[in-house]
Amino acid sequence: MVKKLIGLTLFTMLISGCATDLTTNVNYYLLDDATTTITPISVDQRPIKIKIDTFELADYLNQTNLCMQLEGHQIYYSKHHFWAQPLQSSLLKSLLNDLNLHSSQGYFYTSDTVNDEQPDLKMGLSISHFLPTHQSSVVMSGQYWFYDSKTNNDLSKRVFNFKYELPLKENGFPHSVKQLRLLLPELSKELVKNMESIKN
Amino acid sequence: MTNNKPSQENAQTAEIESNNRLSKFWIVPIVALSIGLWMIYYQWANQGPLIDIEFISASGIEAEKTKIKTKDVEIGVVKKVELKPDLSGVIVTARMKPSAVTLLREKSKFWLVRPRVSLSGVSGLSTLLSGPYITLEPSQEGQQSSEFVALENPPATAAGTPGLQITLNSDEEFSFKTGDPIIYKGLKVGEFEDMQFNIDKRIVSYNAFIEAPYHKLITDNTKFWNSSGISMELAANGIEVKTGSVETMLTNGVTFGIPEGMSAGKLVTKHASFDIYKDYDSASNKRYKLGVNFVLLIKDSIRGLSVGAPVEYRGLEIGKVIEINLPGASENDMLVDEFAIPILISIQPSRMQQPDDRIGVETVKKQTLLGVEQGLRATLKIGNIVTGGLFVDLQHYKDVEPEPLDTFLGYNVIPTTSGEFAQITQKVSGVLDNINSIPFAEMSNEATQLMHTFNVTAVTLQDTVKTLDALLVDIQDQHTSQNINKAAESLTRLLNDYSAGSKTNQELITTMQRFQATLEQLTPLLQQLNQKPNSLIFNDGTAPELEPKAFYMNEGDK
Repeated sequence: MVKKLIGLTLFTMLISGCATDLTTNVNYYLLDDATTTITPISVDQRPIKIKIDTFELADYLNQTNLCMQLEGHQIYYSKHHFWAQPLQSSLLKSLLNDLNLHSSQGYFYTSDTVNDEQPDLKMGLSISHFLPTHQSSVVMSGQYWFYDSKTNNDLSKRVFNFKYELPLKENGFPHSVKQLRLLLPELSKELVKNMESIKN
Repeated sequence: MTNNKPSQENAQTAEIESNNRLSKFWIVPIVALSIGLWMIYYQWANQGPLIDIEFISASGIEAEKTKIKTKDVEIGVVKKVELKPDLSGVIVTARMKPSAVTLLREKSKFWLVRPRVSLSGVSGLSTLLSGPYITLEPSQEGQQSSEFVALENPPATAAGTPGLQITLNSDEEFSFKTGDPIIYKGLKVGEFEDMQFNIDKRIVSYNAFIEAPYHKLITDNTKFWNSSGISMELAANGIEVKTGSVETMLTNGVTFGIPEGMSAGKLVTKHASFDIYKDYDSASNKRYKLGVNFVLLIKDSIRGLSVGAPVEYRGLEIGKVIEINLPGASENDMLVDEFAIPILISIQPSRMQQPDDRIGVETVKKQTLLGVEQGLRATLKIGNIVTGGLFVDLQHYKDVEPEPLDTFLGYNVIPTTSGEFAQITQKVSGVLDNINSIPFAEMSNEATQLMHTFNVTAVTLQDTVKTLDALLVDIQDQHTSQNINKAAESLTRLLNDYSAGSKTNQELITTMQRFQATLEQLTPLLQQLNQKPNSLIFNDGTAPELEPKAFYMNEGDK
C-alpha cells in the first residue's frame, strides 16, 4: 500500500512537471487608442491632394511579435506581446490620420481609400526603425519623398530623412507602444510643413 | 610302393552320406520365381476382355496408341488393326479395362472421334493435338458382347438424353440429313439423327430426336412441315414469303405445330411416326379428312386452274379442286364446240362447321344440292392477276335460270355461270364508259385556274417566308450581339477584379504577405525546436522575458 502511494506521488510529480505555466500572459496591442484618437473632418474638400503612393516598412518590423532593440545590433522579439493588426497597415492609417489632422490644406490618402488617378502630389515613405531600445527610449527613423503625379519627377531634388526619439517613463511594452504612437504626430508635422513648402 | 602300405592300412575309409537337404541358397530364386509367376497370373487374371470393332477404314487408328474412352475416361487401348478378309473394312482389336466389362453390351456404340466440320457445327477439335480416339457410348440394353460395328459418324443425340424419339416420313422432293434442325418458334428443339429409304413405299423415313422439355409439345395432332430456306409462293391471294430460322435458311429443317382450330390432342410419350408436309397450309389442310365431291362443267378456259386450288363460298374456303378434266369424259368430244371440261371439286364438311364424318358429308351434300336449286352457281375467278391463278367461287345468283340437278360420272354437278374473263370484259367496258363520260376539258380548265391561283399564293407565301426569315436572322443577330456584349462586360469586370491595384489583387497580395509573415514568425520557433525539440513542453532554460525599461529607472540604477 505504501509502495503504491509513493509510486502515485512520484507519477503525479512527474506529470506536474509537464504542466503549462498558467501565469503566462499573451498581450495584444493596437497602435491607435480608440478612446483618444481624434479624426479630422471634411478632409476631401481641401485644395491639395497628396497620395501616399509608396509606404514601406522594414522587414524585421513586419512581425506580429513586438520587438526591442538590444545591445550589439540584437533584436529581441517578445513571446507574450503581439500586434493585434499588421503593423504596416496600422502605422499607415495612424499616419494618415495625423497628417490630415495637422494639415489645413492637404488631403492625404492612399489608393485604398480614394481611387484618384490625378492627385496634386504623390509621396513615398519608408520606415526603417519603429521600436523601443535598450536605452529606455522609442525610436522612429526613415525617409520620405515627394514627386509630381504626372511626370513622377522628384520635386524636392532630395530625400527627406527623419529620426524621432522619445524617452520611456515606465517599464514594459504597453508604455513603449504609447510612446511609439506619439512619434507619429512629430513626423506628421514635419511632413506637412515640407509638403506645403513644396506646393507653395 | 612299400613305403605306402602302412599309410594305406592306417587310412580310414571315408563315410559318404547322401546330402538330400536343399541349400538355403535356393530360397531366393524360388521366391523371385514365385513373385514373377504371381505377377503374371495377376496380370492375366485382371486384364480386361479383348473386343473387336469393325470400322470402314482405319484412318487415324494406330495399335498401342489409339485409346478407347467413354465420357473422356480411358477404358481401353487398341492392340491390333487388321483388314477384313473380304476387304470390306478393318477389324480393330482392343484390350478393355476390367472395369469396362459391364459397358460392353450389344447396343453399345463405338465411333471414331476426329475433327469434323459441317454446316451444323465443328466438333472434335481437341483431337488435333491428342490424336483421334474411339468413343464408347455404353448401353444397358442387349447381351454382353465382344464384337461391335462402329458408327461412321457420331450419333446426333447422346444416349440417355431426355426427350422423345420420333420418325418423320416424307415423300416430297426435299430431303434432310443428319444434324438438320427441328425448329419450334425459332428455337432449335431437336435434330435429325439418321435416315432410311423405304423402297416399297418410296418414302424417306427419318429418325429424329426432340429434346426435353420440348418433347411435351408433341401430341397426336402435331403436324410437321418443311421450313428449309426461303419459300416464296405466288398464290391466288398474292406473293407470300416464308422463312425459318437463320440456320434453316442455310441448311434444311422442319418445324411443327398444331394447326389453328385443332385441339391439342394427347401427349405423345412413346416413339411415334409423323409425316412431313411441304408447308404449313398442306399440314393444316390434312386435318380435313372427308369431303363431298361435285363436278363442275366449265365451258370457258381453265388456264390457271390447278389441282388444290381453293373452292370458296363468298370468300370462305370450303374445299379444293381434286382433279381437272376428269378421265371418263367423252374423249372424242373434247374438240367439239361447247365442250365442257369436267372439274372435280371436294367440299369439306369440317370447313363448313360440320362434323368430319358421314353425317357431315350428308348434310353438306344436301345443303349444296338445295343451294343449287336456289341459284347456287360456280364460276372460275382470278385469284391473282400476276400469276393468273384461278379458284372456284360458289355464289348464289338471283337472276339465273333454274337448272335440273344432274350427275356426271356419278358425281352431282354444280351448274356454272360465265367465267371471270367475260365478267372482266363487262366490267372494263363499264369502266371505260364511265371514263368517257368524265368532262376532262372542263376539269382541265379548272385545274389550270387552280394552278394559277396556287402560283400566286406560292409567290406571296415565298415573300412572306423571306420577310420572316430576315426578321428571324435580325432578331437572332441582335440577340447574339447582346449576349456577346454581356459576356465581354462580364469578362472585363472579371479581369478588373484581378488586375494590378484591384481589390482582389490587393487582397491576394495582403494574404500572401501575411502568409509570408506567419512563416517568418515560425522561423524562431522552428529554430528553437531544432535546437531543443522538447522545449515546447519543458522550459527551454533561456533568459526570462525582456521588456523595455523606463528611463528614470536606468538613471536611478546609475
